[in-house]
Amino acid sequence: MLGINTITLFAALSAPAQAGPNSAVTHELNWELDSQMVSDDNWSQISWTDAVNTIGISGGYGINRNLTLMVGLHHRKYVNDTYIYDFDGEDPTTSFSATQLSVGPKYSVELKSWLRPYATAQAVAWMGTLSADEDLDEEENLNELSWSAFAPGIKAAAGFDIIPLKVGKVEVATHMDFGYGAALNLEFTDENGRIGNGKTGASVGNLNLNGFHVNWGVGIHF
Amino acid sequence: MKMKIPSLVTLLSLGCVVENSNEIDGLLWDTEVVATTDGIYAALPHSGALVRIQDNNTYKVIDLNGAEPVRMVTTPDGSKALIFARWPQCTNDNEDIVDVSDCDEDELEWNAELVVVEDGVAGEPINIPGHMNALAFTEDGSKAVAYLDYSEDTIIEISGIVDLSEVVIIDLEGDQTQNAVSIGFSPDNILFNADGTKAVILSRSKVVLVDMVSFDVLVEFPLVLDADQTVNPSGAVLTEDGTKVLVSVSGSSDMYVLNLEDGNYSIDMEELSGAPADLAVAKSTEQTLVVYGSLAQVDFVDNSSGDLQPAQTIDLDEPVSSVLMASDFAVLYNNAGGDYYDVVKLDLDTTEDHELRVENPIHSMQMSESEQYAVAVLRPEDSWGGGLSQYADENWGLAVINLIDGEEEVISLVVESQPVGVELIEDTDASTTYALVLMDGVDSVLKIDLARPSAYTEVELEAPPVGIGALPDATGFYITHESALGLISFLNPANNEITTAHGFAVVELLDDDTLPRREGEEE
Repeated sequence: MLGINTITLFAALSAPAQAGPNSAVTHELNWELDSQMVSDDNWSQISWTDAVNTIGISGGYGINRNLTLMVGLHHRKYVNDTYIYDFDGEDPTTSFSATQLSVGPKYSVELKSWLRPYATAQAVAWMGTLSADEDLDEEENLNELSWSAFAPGIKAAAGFDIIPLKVGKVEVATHMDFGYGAALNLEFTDENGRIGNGKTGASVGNLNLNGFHVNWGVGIHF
Repeated sequence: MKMKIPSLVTLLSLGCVVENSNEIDGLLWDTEVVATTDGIYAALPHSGALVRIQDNNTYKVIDLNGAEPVRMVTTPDGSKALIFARWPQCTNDNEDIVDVSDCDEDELEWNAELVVVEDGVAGEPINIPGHMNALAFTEDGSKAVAYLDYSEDTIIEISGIVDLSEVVIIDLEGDQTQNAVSIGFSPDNILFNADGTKAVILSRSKVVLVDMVSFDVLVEFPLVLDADQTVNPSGAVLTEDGTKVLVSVSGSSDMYVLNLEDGNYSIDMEELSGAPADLAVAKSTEQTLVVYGSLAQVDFVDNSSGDLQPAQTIDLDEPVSSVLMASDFAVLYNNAGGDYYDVVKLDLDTTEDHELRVENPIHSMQMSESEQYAVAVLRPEDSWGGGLSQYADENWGLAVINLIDGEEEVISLVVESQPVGVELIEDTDASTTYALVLMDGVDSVLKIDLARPSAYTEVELEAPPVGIGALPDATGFYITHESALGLISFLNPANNEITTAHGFAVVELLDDDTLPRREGEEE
């Protein structure tokens, strides 16, 4: 019995896609605000908020009426005028930019014509760039520095789509989901520096982006 | 129904850049660096790290096992850096306390240690009392004495008990053994004999002779007979043969002559003409020169007998407060803050004096290695005259003093701003001496030919300089700059080429204040 139900479920998920808003399959395109909570104390050096708030777009390719392959790209840059106590010279400007690429399936069901709850699990790649500049007015000054880091991770969330408006074959939708994201640390190292036996770059710092996750967006389904 | 949808670009760019401000508690790097033969060592107060910087713009983070550098000195030969360091420990064992900021202030203790760093590698830490902040070295740098150099703004952190009569003798070679010796209250002046086998340590009302091999106290010289009396040594010199130490006392014309010869220890007292401002040993004549900040004269003390030689007293036109000693002459000048302008070149053999005069009062002076020139930094003064004289009075200046026999003269220069660093270098190829001068707020270093002071070369710098120092291997000089993220220039005086090392202060820019060396846990 369990085996038959499993086969049935798999067959349903794999059903070929069909076009149109009232048909089984929808593609989608969204503009989103993505908020990844950060519990790392180091984050306080970058922002007074408790989360990395990024803005971006996501797109979904409908595989069947319930299953959509989602791809998302989000970005935000934080720029800080950094005040250094006891320093009489010109204070530097520091910045941190975060780019998040996500890909993974989204499974939704149609409770009502206007309400579709869903669950999603996606692989995530964080790309962070930490920068410091002593003199913004001088291009390529000696201490215009930046370091990049990459961290893979995952996120899982559950939420719902609300479709308030249908215009022909296009549905205007808004969505919100809540979940949890986990990723390896973003580790920033300076290759001019060495530590220990001299084989590892000097650590500029690291950020841990694990925590609760909220996503909100508006878009179209078609 | 018509609905306007904002363009995708507008939506995407909306709020993509967040502008904010943040604060960093403490400097990213301390410009009070030290130079060794393997590089420049700099402390990074914000991250608590120590880095070694080299002129190819690379740096190495030195592993101090969780300790942070507080103060740094180098051995006389520049081969090692000695780091006064401390590391935090929380007396609360709660496992939730991970960072320094998690620990209550009254539960946070700081442990002090001294670390010897050589070739970028830190040795085993040497435990020393936390209040000690200075080192005196034997001439060969093999041994050192740690003590407290106390000034009014020094903060002594007390953990338990602090013994202010203690010094720690450290063997810097081999096992780096150390031995604490109680000397007397506030020991702060330490002299070594030529071979480093004995140390004379001065403290309040007492002078102690210590054997640097066995760490034993050989003899204690009380400077008072009555325990109700106290005397504070103001200066001391050791004679060339190491048999006597002459000790002057604050606010008194008394000078103690201590005989250090084995089996013949004794104390004698000599009455000087007044409270001395400086003592200097003249090796060529086996005498000690004594100058007084308030008396216009210089006295001589015979080193073999310890007796004042009143017959040799030389009267001067103005009081002098400092002595620069050369091989066969001395340069006397006044930098005690008064309005005095005389610089006297005193021939030690003939006692003939040659009087020179600078334009403004002297702030500091140094002599070249060749002993042919001296350079003085002249400070501004109140002006009562007019014209060029007033102009010179109101500005900082430099005095180039020619000390060559028969060519003695002073050339006074006016400089753009206060000199923040002066270094003298000998150019043996060109047979001349140069002065490297840094000025406050000026992005260049002046290289002045002391034989022709008006001819100078200006070498551009990347940023305003803070200080200058010589590299121990005599390959050039380093210049520190007012730069938040770290900037040191390396100057090759042979060709005036500048290389820079920069950006080294970014280590742990994102603060990581994890408590190190938790008890019972591995690092």
